[in-house]
Amino acid sequence: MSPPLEWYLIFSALLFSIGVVGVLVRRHVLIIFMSVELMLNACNVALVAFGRHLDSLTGQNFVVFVITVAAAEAAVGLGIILALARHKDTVDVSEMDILKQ
Amino acid sequence: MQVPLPSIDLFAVSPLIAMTVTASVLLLITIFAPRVRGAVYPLVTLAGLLVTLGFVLALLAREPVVTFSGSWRADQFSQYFGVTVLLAAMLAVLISDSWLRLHQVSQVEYYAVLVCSTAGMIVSASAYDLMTLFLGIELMSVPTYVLTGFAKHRRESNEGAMKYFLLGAFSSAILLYGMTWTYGVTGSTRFDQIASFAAQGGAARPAVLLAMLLMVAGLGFKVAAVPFHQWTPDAYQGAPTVVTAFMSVAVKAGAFAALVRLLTQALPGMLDDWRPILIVISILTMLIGNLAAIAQTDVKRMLAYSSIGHTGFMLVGLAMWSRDNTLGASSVLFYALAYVFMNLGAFGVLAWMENHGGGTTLEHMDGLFARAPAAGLALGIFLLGLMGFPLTIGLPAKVFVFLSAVRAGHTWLAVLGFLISAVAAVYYLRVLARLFAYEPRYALASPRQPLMVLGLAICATATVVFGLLFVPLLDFAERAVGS
Repeated sequence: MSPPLEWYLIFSALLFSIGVVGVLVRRHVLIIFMSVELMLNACNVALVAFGRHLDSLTGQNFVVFVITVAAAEAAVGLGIILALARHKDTVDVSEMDILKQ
Repeated sequence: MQVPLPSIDLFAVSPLIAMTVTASVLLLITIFAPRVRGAVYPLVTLAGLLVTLGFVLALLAREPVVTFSGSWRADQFSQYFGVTVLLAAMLAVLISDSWLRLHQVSQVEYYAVLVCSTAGMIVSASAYDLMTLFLGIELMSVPTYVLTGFAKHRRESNEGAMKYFLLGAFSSAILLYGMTWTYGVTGSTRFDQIASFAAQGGAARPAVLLAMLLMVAGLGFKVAAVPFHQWTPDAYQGAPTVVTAFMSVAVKAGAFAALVRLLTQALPGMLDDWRPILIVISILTMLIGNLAAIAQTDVKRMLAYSSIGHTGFMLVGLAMWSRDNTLGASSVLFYALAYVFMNLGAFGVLAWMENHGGGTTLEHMDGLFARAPAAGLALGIFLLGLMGFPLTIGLPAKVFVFLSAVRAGHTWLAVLGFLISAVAAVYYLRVLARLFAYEPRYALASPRQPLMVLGLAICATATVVFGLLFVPLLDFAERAVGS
């Protein structure tokens, strides 16, 4: 007996909300980035749950692509973070202010 | 479980194959012939993009096909955006060449990443399935984060790339959550099946509405619509100017292709829900983009805000779309193509000045026409185009958008848009006055940059010529929307 669909969806919504709040309130670049990953994985949980509920493979299919995209994004994102940290010894977004006017 | 093989039509994806080959060839050249110098890389890239354009034009003559298990649709719509983004990419290659040489930036990665991003735009325009659409949007966005940070030695470039990346990834996650719910509620990721489900309505309506809001918000980030526009000025100002020229026009075109396709082909049954949302967003975008542009003292940042304003005008057209008023969508398509020539050209002239040792603040514009008549005249043409001046392509672009609002019975929106574009003329005219009437203040060096001059000349000519001969372009856009 597996738990009903709603449980998975509530879990996924909670994960997604934690991710959104993390992006909005935290100032550390890596934590913000982790929060984005959390949002993507919240989507994955919901996709698998929906796929199981609908008895279709599309959901799991989608998850494979999402994981791939997340990996590509992480590679590029960490590269950008590294380039910036070399110039200025900080990972705090509130100190990235030279473009503000 | 038996999984039948899907129907595969390789000709329908031939533009994508050609671009993949181009990017791979570029990377292979550095491995096997690392000493290659000169104009090899831009020429190989241009050749690859021309071959791709050839495939796109060959596909134009075909009937629309849906292939790869219904995830790919090659029709006039996708070919229209294919032509648009390929033109933008080719012009970007032309104007980037001298910047890359002067700063001794690695050329091959730059062109390979540019080609990948363009491929992503073509995927976004041809996607007929949420999965393909997500992959297309990501393939378009991730390379542009790299391009924004391409001037590794400049901190502005790093910072712009960081902000663009964080907000871009955030918006992709929001878009994906919307897609997840669309799949869960409608039971399919294919646009035609979503459309037939959404048309029935019923108890699932609130969930579909939530999913639609999330997807509009996610794509709103990509087109830089208010209130999702905060990254735009920083990313556009921080990025190397040649990159800003490319992404301000091409990413906007790719994201608008996705937005138009999604709303008019997957969710046409929810027109009454998304129209008021888009109207509010478009008004805010026009107002905030253009008003903030007036306050800027740096022309590059001013054009970044003006690009937010232009998103607002395009959204007016999309909001006015209905089955009886297809001018709404075709005016967006027309605007996207017109915007390529005007805005890429305007940023291109700024890049030209930077290569000559000039800057991008208002003072640097003083007397450009006296100092370098051709560059001054070109920038003048582009700014008049962006303003919507007669005899440039900017006028028909704006007129069609407002005409679609009148046809949809929202004359007040057309009047409001017209008033805002009159206010926007203030900041374009301020630069124009400095270009032509002021005394030159700064000297300019003169490096040779033949490819850039060619690119800017093409943009300026197209801005004027299509300003007079806009009817064939509109016909093309109309056919694209009808396919």
